Amino acid sequence: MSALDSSVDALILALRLGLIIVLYGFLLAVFLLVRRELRQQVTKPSNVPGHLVVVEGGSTGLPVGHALPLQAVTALGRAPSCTLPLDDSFVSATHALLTWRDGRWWLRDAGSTNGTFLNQQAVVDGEVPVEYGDVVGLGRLRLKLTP
Amino acid sequence: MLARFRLAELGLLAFPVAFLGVGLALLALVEQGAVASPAELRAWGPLLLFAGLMLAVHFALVARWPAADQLVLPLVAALSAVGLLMVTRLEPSLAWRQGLWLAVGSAALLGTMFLLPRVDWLARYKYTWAALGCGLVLTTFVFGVDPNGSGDRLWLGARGVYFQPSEVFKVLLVVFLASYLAERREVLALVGRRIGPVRLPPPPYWLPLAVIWLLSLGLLVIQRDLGAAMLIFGIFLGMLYAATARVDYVAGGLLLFALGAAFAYEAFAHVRDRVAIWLDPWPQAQDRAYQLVQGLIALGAGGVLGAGLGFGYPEYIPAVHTDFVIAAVGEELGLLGSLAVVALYLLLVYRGFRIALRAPEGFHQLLAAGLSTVLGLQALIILGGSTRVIPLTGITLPFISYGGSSLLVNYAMVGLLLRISAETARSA
Repeated sequence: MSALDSSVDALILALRLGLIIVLYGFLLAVFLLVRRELRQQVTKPSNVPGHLVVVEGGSTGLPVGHALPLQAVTALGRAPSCTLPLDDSFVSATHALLTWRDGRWWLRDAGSTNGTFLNQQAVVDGEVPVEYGDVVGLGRLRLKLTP
Repeated sequence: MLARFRLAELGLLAFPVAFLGVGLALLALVEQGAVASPAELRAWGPLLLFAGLMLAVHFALVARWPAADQLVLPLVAALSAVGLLMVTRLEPSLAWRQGLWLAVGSAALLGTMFLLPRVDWLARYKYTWAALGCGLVLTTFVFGVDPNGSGDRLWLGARGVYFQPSEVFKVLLVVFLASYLAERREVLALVGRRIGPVRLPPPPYWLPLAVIWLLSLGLLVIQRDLGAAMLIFGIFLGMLYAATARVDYVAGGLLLFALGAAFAYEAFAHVRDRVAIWLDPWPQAQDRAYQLVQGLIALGAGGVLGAGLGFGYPEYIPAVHTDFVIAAVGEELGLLGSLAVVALYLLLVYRGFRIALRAPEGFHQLLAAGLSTVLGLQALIILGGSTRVIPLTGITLPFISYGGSSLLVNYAMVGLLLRISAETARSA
């Protein structure tokens, strides 16, 4: 009788331990998955040298200093289909186009309602070259081009 | 791609199922004593039900919304497993009921995911939702019943099936606020007249907002549902901040809250009671503070490792299977157990906000942020109340407390979150 009792007790103890282990194992698994996810986000390869760093985020909710990756041809605008969707209400559906060509960046207004600006100057016709450090303005956003 | 099969979710779901299995086996062993073979344990029923439900939801997601966030369901499953285990331990007669509500909840989750044409559809009817919500709460004012004998007539229903409209109200409020604020966020954030250091938005814009807020608060305070009032206010402030990023609005809101709290303190005896037992429960330990004190003793008795499932004395704590379930968790699973529960809520809120951040446009973002805020704030309020960090209010611990309407509504909210994440992934 007592042998059975003590083996049941041992089993109970083992199960108690197991309960905590499963619980914390789960937390560990979630933590590892989240960490992997965050790493993948950071090291996503960008084959063109450039980012747009948020100087003013308008109503997009993007924090100042956040770096947006750029593609060789980047469409900036409010539509979700844009390469870089920016949800500020003064930004048009397709607002501007930033292109990497011949070793430099070119900015073009894509027919926006409120205009596209480079360092406070309106981009009206065709393409203008953009250097690192220049600030692109669209809607209430100010984005600085960085390497 | 492998991601299409949501293998991460499947793998993670194994943990809550295993947790429930081990827990129920442990409980059965403690209560039954020795058994000849595992098949005799009475644990299999609820375990199979739980596993079946979670797998059903998982496969439904694989079939229709494979791109939705994969961590949310396992987190909710883990919390639900803790809940089911605790109910089985604390009120075995209610265990199958909880299981039933889990089934209804899962159906609600799938319902919101499958039946909603688009998330944006919700935005079109915002005043309908607001009216419906207020109407529901008004109905309790007139027809409210009190099945638990706690003195507050917060339920609607009859013959054993009850549901709490304030739970539905909080979701309707979130949907309304998300839609309203998304439309007006620039105006609220920018335009306005100055009163001292604070800039006020023009009346046509904040007036409907203030009306609904006052209405919700008034109804809830009149109904003596302080927990819900606190929750509603917190949701309102949180979403206002998320939409406008204006700290002065939050500061102003907190000031209003302080004023409201002071008024409530002066005007209502039961508020004074709650604050009194929060500040010093010990003189009233046999009387008004009994529940709180017993809960604190239980947490202390649990220590770090806990007394062991089935070895505690939860019968001393009133409402231990609903509002005070964390005391039972703390007593039997120890600090390790209660910290794990807190971690689970943190992760769920994190996931919800992540879904909000990745959403493409205002309404989705605010809705996801609002839903996460509800879950997190609700957990915070009851955890804080049970541990005497803030005054105690009657509110359920999401997914863990026994309670059908709470479970149903929370599962529906999770369904909405998953739907938002699925639509985000699809439009990317």
